[in-house]
Amino acid sequence: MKTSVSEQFDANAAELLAHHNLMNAVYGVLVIIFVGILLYLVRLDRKISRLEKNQS
Amino acid sequence: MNLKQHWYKWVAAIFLMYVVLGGLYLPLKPGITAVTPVRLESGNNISIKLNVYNAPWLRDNTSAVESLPKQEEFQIPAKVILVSKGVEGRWESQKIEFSGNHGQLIALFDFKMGKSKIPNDNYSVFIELSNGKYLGLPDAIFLGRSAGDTVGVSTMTSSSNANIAVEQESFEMKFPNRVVLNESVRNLFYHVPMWFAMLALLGIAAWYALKYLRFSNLEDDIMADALIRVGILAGILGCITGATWARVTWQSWWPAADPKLNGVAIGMTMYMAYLLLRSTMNDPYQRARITSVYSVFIFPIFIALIVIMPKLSPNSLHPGSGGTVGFNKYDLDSTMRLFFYPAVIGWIALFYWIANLRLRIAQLNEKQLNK
Repeated sequence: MKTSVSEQFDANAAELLAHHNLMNAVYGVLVIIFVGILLYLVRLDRKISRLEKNQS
Repeated sequence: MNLKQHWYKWVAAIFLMYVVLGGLYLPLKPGITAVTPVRLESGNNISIKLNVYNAPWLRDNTSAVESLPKQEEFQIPAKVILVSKGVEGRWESQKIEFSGNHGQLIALFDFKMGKSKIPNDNYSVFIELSNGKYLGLPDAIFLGRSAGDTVGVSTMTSSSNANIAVEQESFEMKFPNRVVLNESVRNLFYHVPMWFAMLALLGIAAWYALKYLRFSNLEDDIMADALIRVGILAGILGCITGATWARVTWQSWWPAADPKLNGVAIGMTMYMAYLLLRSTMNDPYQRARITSVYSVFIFPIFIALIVIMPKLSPNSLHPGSGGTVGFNKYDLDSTMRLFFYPAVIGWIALFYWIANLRLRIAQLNEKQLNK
C-alpha cells in the first residue's frame, strides 16, 4: 500500500487525536480549584493567627 | 456543629463529594474522534480509518465481523456510511475491518460516481451498529470528483438519509461524547459552577449592601464585603480553569474574540476596583456607604456583561451564547444534569461557607478594634 505525504500526515494526526483524550484538562481544572481554595484558606488561617496574637 | 444552622456545610460536603467522584468515574459514550484521510477523490477503492473512542466492541479486534451474533445487546459495527446534507443518497462501505490498533476501524469504500452528477461536498461519517443505532462525526470528509471518474456505474445507494438519528434515546449513565470536547466535557461540573458561585455570592452581597444603605447597620456591610471577596476568589478560579480548558479545546489561553471573556475581563476589573476603593478609606461608616453604593451599582452591570451581552452578540465560543448551541443540546438524556445541578448547589454552598469564615474573621477584627 503506497502512502502519500498527506496520507501520512493524516495518519499522524489521527494517532495524535486518538491519544489526546483531554482527561488531563479535567484533572488540571480540579487541581487548580483545590489549590486556589487551599491558598485562600491558608490566608484566612494567617488572619486568625494574627487575631489570636492580638487577643493575648 | 448544629445541623440546622450549618445545613449548607453538609450540602457542600455531600454534593461536592458526589459531583467530584461521579463526574470523574462515569464513562463517556462511544464516539468517533477522528477520520482519516479527510480529503478523498472518487473513482477509487479507498480505505478510511476511523478512530472510535470508548467503544467496547472494538476491543475484540476480530476481523470477521459477519460471523458474530447480531443481537440487540451486541453492538457490532455493521457498516460505515457517508452522507451529506446536500446529496440525496449515501455511500456505504463494502467491508469493514478492525485494524491492529485499539479503537480503530477501517472501512473499505468503492467510490465510483460514473456519469451521474454528484456534487463535491462535505460528508458526515456514520457507523451503523448492528442494533440499528449510529455513531456519527459531522462533515468529516470532503469527497471530490477526480478527473478520471467519468465512466462506470455509481456505487452510491439512493436513500433519503432522513432516518439517521445519531443520538441514542435510551437512558444510559454515561456522559455525551462530543467532538473537540471529548473527556473535558466533565469540566462542566467544575468550571461553570465557579461562575454560578461568583454570581450567587455577588448577588447576595448586593442584597446586603442595599440592606446597609437602608438600615445603616455595619454588620451588613461586613457581610457584603466578605461575600464580594470570596466571590472574586471564585471568579479568579473561573478564569484560570476556563483558560486551561480553552487551551485544549479552543487552542488558546484567552481567545479575545469571545464576548464572554471580554465581559468577564471588564467585570473582574470593576470588582478589583471595589477592593481598591475600600482600601482607601478608614472611617467605617463612610467606607460602608460608598462601597455599598458602588457594589449595588456594579452588580447589574456585571450581569449584563457576562450573561446578557454574550447572548446578544453575533458570535461566541461559549455554548449557549451568541448563536452557539447550549450544553442542554449536548445532553439529550440528561445524564449531565444529574451532576450539573448538584455541582452548582454544592459549589455555591462551599464558597458561601468560605465567605462565612471570612465574615467571622472580619467580625472578630472589628471587635478588637473597638476595644
